[in-house]
Amino acid sequence: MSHGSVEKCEPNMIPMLDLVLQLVMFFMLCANFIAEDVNATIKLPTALQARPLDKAEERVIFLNVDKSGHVLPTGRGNTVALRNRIMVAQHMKRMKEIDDQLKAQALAKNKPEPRPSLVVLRAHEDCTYEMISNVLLGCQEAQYYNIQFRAVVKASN
Amino acid sequence: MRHRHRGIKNGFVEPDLPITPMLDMSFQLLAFFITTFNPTPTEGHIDVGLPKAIGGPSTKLPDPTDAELIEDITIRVDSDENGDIAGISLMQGEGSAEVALPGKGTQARANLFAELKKRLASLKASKKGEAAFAPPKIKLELPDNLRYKILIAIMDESNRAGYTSVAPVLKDDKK
Repeated sequence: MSHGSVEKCEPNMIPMLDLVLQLVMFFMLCANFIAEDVNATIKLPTALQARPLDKAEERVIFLNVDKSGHVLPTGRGNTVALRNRIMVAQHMKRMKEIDDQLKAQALAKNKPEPRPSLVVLRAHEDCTYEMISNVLLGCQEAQYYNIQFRAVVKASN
Repeated sequence: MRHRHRGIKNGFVEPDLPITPMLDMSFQLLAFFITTFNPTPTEGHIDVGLPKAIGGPSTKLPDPTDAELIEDITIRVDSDENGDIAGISLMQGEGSAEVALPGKGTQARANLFAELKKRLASLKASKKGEAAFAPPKIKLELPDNLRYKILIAIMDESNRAGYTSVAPVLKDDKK
């Protein structure tokens, strides 16, 4: 037994650090920070034929419909729930005005005309057709015809 | 000064990185991301063929020889008090007889899928010579209390049977 020399025994931390940093990177990439347009409280129905989203759409208007049938528009300044067809139509007409302004600006700058906005309806699976119908009528009144229903993609067996 | 000469051995300087604080910080970051990790389910979309007509039904009389009107399918759904399917009836073309499908709920949906598939197959067979074949449009007449998930399920079955244009009929009398 030697008392004269003290040998230091250190675990090699560098591979562990590498692994931990890789895990951190994975979770950072998977973290969903931007969830402004998507209301997590809305449980979407499932559908086998639901197709993946088209990323070519320039402007998308999200309308979240909760279980009680209230429409929750997203975006800055939109905090009031739309409770009936008239309110939905008014909101959609405001959106249409913005669309028209963007269209006029693009034409003034000799740019190609932007595509009309896509309306995405994210409704709770238990809300009734009455409110869905009101939303569709509101969209129709504001001359929005490009409408999609959102559903969770169900994997086929 | 002792520190400065610590790693010098025959002119070679050994870098001494403080690994432990870095590892501590990495573990904290890892713990944060693990606890906040919430994978969202993959969302997809189903297109709605919304009609462009505004202001109620058109005053123009439909042309009885119009091929689209003859082939278009109207699906009428009745619901129970829970907002589920109580019955489905189907009508192809203007003025044709309404066919009631047997079953309720999931069974009714399965029968609808089989019926739609059969009708599309016979239509395809009758138009074999034609170059471009477009499946007929489907109109859904739905009760107010029908749940949204049932509407999506009916649209899903219709798309699965091969129909690309499925639209719920909007009732203009609701104000």
